[in-house]
Amino acid sequence: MSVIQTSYGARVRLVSALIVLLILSSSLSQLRASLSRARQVQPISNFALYQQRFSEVRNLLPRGKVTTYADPLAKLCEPFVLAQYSVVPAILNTRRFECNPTSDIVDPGAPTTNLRLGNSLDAQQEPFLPNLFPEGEAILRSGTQTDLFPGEKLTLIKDTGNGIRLYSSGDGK
Amino acid sequence: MTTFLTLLSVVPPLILGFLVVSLLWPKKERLLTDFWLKGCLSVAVGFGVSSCLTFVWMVAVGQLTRGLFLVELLLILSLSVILARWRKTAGIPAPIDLPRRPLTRKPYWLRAAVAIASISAAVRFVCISIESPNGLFDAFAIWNMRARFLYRGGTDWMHFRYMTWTHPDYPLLIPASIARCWEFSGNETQLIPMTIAFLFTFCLIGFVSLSIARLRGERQGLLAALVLLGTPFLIQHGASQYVDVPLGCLFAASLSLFLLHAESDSSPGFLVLAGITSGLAAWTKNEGILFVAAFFFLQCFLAVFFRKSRGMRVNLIAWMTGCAPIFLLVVLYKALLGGSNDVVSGHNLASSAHQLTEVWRYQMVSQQYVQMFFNFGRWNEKFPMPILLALYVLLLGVRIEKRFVPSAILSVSLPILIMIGYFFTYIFSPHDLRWHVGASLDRLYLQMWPLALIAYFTIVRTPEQALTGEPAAQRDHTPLTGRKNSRELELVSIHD
Repeated sequence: MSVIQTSYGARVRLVSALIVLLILSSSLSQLRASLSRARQVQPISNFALYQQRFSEVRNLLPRGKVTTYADPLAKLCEPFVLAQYSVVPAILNTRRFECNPTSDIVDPGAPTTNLRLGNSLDAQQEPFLPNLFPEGEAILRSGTQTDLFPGEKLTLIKDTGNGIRLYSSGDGK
Repeated sequence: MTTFLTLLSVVPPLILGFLVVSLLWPKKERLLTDFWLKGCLSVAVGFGVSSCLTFVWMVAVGQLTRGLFLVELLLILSLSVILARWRKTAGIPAPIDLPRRPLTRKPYWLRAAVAIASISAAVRFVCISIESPNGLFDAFAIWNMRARFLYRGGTDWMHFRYMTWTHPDYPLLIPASIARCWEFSGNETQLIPMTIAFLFTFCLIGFVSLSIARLRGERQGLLAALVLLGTPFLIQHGASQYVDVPLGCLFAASLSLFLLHAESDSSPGFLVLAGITSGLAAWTKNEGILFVAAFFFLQCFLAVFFRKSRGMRVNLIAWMTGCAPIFLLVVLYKALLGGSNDVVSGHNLASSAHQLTEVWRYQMVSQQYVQMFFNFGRWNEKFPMPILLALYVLLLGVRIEKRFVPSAILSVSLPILIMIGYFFTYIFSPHDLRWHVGASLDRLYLQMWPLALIAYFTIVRTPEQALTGEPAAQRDHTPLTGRKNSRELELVSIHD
């Protein structure tokens, strides 16, 4: 009986030790990877640089109202989402939104403006952009500026630099 | 200065949480008894209660202002006075000095392993946070975005409801907590969401470990902590500032508190606290509503089928006392916003009935459920944690005391029932099914993981029991209170 008990106790300890060793080894290898990644972090992230582009225009956009937005990376949702994140509490709407194709992205009952926010993205001017949106690298590097609001008569209100332009449409406010 | 104000801004919710927890903790224990367990719980309860207060303040005043902190201070002072008087009338409890019989040596090596894994996890968390201070996609597309609306939006703070793409119906525990801290520190720093994410992640680990240690002994608690610390996805996802980890923390707190009540002769304070944390789960994310429904259903089931066992109906009322006010707040929030849910809206009975009969949907979701179960934690591919835990239970066996059968049924059924609920959410999903499952199933498993571990470690025999063959009443840890003449139900026992 005691031999069986000893053998059983050894197995319990063995499995416990196995769990502990596996967890610790995986934990330490992840720690090494995390530390090496952290060493490569830039002082100002690409994300922060992208947000800074909107810092001036954010104060010009009406709070809680919808402004129409466009950028050349129509197939990606990240540039739009990051732009929206940057200009809160203004609300952006885009007609080419791939993130949520099943429904409208802005409630039709929302208060709207006649403003248009154009976000031209050019990797030659801002080299960080391809790193931030690698899927759109080809378009970003091509440097060709497409008409972001085709067929609309727009009046430029403010060009805040870095490709951010605020327009009014029609009898814009 | 910013760092100091950031750290200071999270202190009032923690104090508030500690006071609420202490008021509902059993009277017969000293204020600082179970300090770390209460401390971990205070994070979830504190941020939860203060976010509810923030929302009510914003609805009443029209926007987020610093007057909120005066109300918060008054609440803290009032609760402190109530607690002081309450403890005075309760009398000074005698120091708890129950004899402990050291059946085995203290688990020094296990403690050391947990310490190493904790330091490693904390450093990893900080590294990930430095890499992505705004969190990953859902963090800035939903939660931090919402927090910015609350903080920057002035009287138009509720206009985020017009952004139908960003789940406007999602509740506000995390966004309101972040916005509150920004208002307090006067600075929209990313340190706040990072700090809140850090607190929730590590308090989840601490709470699960400490409550299991209290229920089943230190070794079992330390093993649970190791399993959580050894789940890389938990740390990564916590640092990504998604709310699945805070949600998992509230799920775990609810179940642990229920079990702490079930296994003690304490007043229903634990159950009221469990009700509060359940309600706060619904205030964190929509999945919390399913959790509340499942928890409620299982308690009703126990009340009906175990009529003789310890006043299940009284327990249900105590739980509802804590849950109902917060759940009503969630209902009020949803009514005020009038936001639709992407899974429910645009759905009609005919399309639902059609999806219900599509066999391929069941096959696909089932396959994903099985595959994801073994790798959602991003474990070592050769030794995924579920396999190790299966090996462990096969070796040690299962032991449930007969009087704890109802609570064991609840703790095992709860995660299963919720996963069944998620399963049918997928079956009825209006989205592309492959995308929907792929984008969310690992996070749903992560929410359930602490719950499942609590259930697992409370029914698996402890190493002490397995090695000594001693019944549970003679364990080497201090039980909440001992009912020493209980029979035990041995379901599986390889040792015997």
